[in-house]
Amino acid sequence: MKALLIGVAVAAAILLFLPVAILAAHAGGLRAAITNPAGLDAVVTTLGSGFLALVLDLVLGVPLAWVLARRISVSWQRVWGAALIVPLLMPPLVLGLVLAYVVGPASPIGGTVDLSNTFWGLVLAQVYESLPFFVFTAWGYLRTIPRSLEEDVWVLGKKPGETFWFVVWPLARTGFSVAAAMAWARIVGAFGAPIVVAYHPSALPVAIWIQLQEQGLPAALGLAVWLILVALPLPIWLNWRYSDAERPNL
Amino acid sequence: MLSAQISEPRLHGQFSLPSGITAVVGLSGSGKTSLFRLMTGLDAGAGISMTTNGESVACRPPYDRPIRYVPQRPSLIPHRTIAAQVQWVQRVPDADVMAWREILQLERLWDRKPRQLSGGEQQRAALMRALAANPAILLLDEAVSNIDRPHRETIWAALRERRRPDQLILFSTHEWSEAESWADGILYMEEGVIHPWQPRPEVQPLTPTMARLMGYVGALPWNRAGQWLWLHPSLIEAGLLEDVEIALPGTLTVTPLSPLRAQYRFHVDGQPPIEWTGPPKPHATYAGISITRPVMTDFGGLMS
Repeated sequence: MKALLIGVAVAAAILLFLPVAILAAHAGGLRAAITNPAGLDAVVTTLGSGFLALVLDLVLGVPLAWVLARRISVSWQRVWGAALIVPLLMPPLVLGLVLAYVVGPASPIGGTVDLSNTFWGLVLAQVYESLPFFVFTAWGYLRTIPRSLEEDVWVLGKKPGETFWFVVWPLARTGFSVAAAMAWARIVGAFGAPIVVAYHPSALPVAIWIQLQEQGLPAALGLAVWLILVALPLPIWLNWRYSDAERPNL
Repeated sequence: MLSAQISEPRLHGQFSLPSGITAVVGLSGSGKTSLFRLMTGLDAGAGISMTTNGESVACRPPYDRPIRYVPQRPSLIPHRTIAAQVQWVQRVPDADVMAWREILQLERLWDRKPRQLSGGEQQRAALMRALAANPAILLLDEAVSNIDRPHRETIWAALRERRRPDQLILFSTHEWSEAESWADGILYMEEGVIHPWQPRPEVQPLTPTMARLMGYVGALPWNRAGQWLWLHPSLIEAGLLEDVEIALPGTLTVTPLSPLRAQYRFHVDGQPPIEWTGPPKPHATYAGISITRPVMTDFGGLMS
């Protein structure tokens, strides 16, 4: 039984890393990919828009996750849990098409500020693709922190704001960092929504698509390696920095 | 001074508490914790009005009431040291914290986290934290129950001695001896009903269950007006003595249990026997009992 478990785990690990190995084997020269001006532009665009999208995810997602975990009764939390799955299930391409309705030149909003094919249009598309993942993950973590931990210091005269930073944050930051890492992975990999809303300026996934069309697979894969290199430091840092955070049940 | 009027689906009654120490006494499930949570504002209740020193506080959030609460379960912040959490809530001078730290014997545990403390030590630390938060009204929900007895007595003595004159301490307990030893007054609760506050020297049983909690062993019908005479081992003398308020003929049998304890059984014709334990007696039977301070009520009933 134990041998079988280990065998399955090893097979799963191989399956998981196989695409990375194939990518490494078949990618064209990394230097060629990045010296191509389009490639360099895509890296800069991805980092810039991705950073802003992540900040927006945090600004919007932390309060929403907190309200869902703390201000909603348990029975309504079930309803919200089900409701949150809907944006999670939206295919990114469909998200892009819907967004195009809203921000495109034909809509009242887009008629005023046309976001399509702009940097901010790209940021918006990335936020839409990633925010549900952030909220769902952060909410799941926050719910595991007993509410009594907060109540027990409210009755000692501590306000909810002070309580959040002194009591909740040290327990919640692991959850928030995992949620941020998930959101970041969605942001840098966002393709479906950006290809509709923000073909230009192209972030890496769209740039890979363009390279594939114009120069073939090896060039596209070279850029894909860059995507991984660019995306990796933040989740690694988050994991290293916060994985040892306090657990509420200790 | 705290006045409250409560009319909730599962909790009702009204009371006025003077400053000092009041024991909230009741069996498990009588509503003591519900009362405390309602008073702190942790549980919202539409049917509560509460004033402290004439000021209404029932609409304020928990952190804005002059009430500090130590619940029965462990309540310390798990990832902060005792020192850190006490300093975080501290609103009294450092000297007070130092004094209490010594009384509660927390010096050695000061820089530890709660998981490194035993149950009793955690209760001492939680009490320390509440005292540091400068309570005008302190609610202790069986908050010293895991502390060993000699230490608990030191703590109660210190609470009595160091209490500010205007301070009000409420503690819940299901042990009558604790209420009797440390409280200035008693607030009795039974099945969600809060009975009126009684000063300790004059406390009377208000229900058969309260009588049992207080240590009464049984009641006998006393007169035609429907009054009952309650029997408490502390108020009974063996035999028919003179110069007592009541000398009750009957058969008292005393059976030794140990060199220090004996079983008493008192029987009056037409009534079920009443039993209790007490100190050994020189004789095996007596012609009745004498009662020095009789307690009469208009409810009776035998207790299980």
